[in-house]
Amino acid sequence: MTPAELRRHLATYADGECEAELRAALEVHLAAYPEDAAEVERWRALRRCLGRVLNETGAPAGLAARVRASLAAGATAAGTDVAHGPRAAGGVDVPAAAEHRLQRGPASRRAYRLGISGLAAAAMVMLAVTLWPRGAAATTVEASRFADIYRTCALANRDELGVCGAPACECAAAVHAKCGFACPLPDLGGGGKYRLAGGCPCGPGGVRTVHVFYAAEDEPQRVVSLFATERPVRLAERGAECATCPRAKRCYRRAKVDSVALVAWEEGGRTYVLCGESEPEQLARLAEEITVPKADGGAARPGCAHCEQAETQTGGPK
Amino acid sequence: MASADEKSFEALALPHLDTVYRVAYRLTRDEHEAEDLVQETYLKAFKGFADYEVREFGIRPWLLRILHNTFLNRIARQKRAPRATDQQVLEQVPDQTRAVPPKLDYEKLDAEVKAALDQLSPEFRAVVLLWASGEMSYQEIAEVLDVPIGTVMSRLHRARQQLAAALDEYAREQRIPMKSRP
Repeated sequence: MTPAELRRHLATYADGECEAELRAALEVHLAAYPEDAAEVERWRALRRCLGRVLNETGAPAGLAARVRASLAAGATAAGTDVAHGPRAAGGVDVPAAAEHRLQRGPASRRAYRLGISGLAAAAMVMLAVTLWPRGAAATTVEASRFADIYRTCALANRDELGVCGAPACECAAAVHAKCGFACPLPDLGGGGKYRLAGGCPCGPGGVRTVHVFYAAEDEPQRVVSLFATERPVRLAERGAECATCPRAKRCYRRAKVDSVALVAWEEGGRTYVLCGESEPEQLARLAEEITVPKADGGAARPGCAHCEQAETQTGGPK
Repeated sequence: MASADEKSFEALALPHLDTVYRVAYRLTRDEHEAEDLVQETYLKAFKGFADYEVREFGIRPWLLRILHNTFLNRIARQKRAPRATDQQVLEQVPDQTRAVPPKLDYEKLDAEVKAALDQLSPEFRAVVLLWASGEMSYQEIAEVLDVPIGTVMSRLHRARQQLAAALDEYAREQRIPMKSRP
């Protein structure tokens, strides 16, 4: 064994990766040469140090929720991909393999595949539009998914929509651009009790969602989230039915996930979910004060202080 | 509602989010890029989950392999240049067969080790990340990177030598007394 080979084997030995025969030989050698035994220990110390350095970084708060949301969105969007997409043997990096084939394949084959994919997608869309039953059962969404987003996005002041401080009635364009559908935002609490503090397109998965959060004017750390889904969803808590409150002006479905309360209701073909660290009854009272604006292209809203002020200044609806 | 596939994928894959993110972060050295890479990895893994077969080391090597391939594809696209083969990479690395870890207090060397790590080429850095961060065996690393175990050992050997040489240089600059081997 040359000195260079010995050095190499010592490092491998430090990792516990030597074959039994070599390991036995090295152990005899190390018993006789403490300097080499110390070198083995330094390799191990270096590995521990690297492990410490590398493991000091953890996944940022909210990443798990965002990954879940993107998986759910991916699952919905790609009924086609999953059913018809190409597969690689061994199931490793399937999309990359598909991408590779598309990039490198002959132009005619690529065009053929793209054509087939396009036709399949168009057929799926047509089928969905024609066959989707109007009274179809709403998607069931676990309350904890909304609560996760409340914690990871609202409490972290994640404002991807760029609506912080803006009047709710002026956010339609930002919402449409980032969330992919039009959804006028309501004022919260009436009389300026809450101001819009931010928003993002994060949802529970399976349905496009607008998530905005409001901070109390007198207590900015008190934050309440409002979700609006593109189509109705059914709020469930670990698969169980949630309590309803038939005496209120709307029928609210209520849930509690740890310290986070949720109140959901359906209105105008959407489901709205109010979410905050409170009791469901308190949130239901807050929800009672909310007037959901109609998606009428920006007509003035009764009770909206900003719209009324604009009306008095311009002499017409904003 | 989450499908059965989605739920079982989440249950298997999400517990490894920290590890996947750590590796992504050290590969990209940028928080946002790392997060983006992680999301793309999980989405790709989910789409291929139907064909995934649980193997000896569980789902972690598979996730990390997708991450690694996605990362390499990204940098290849950015550079728009052919990727160096392993042999080419090895040939570019100066021979430091005499490098051994200097006698230093490795409990207080985090910043220096981090800097030395960042100087490694992506191929070597990936091996070291999996070796040190995930405490993976050589076989497991070979599975993640889809290379023979001999290649893992070669890359790790060279990477360790580079790390040791960088720390040796640091010790000289700081005039830390040591008795390094010839």
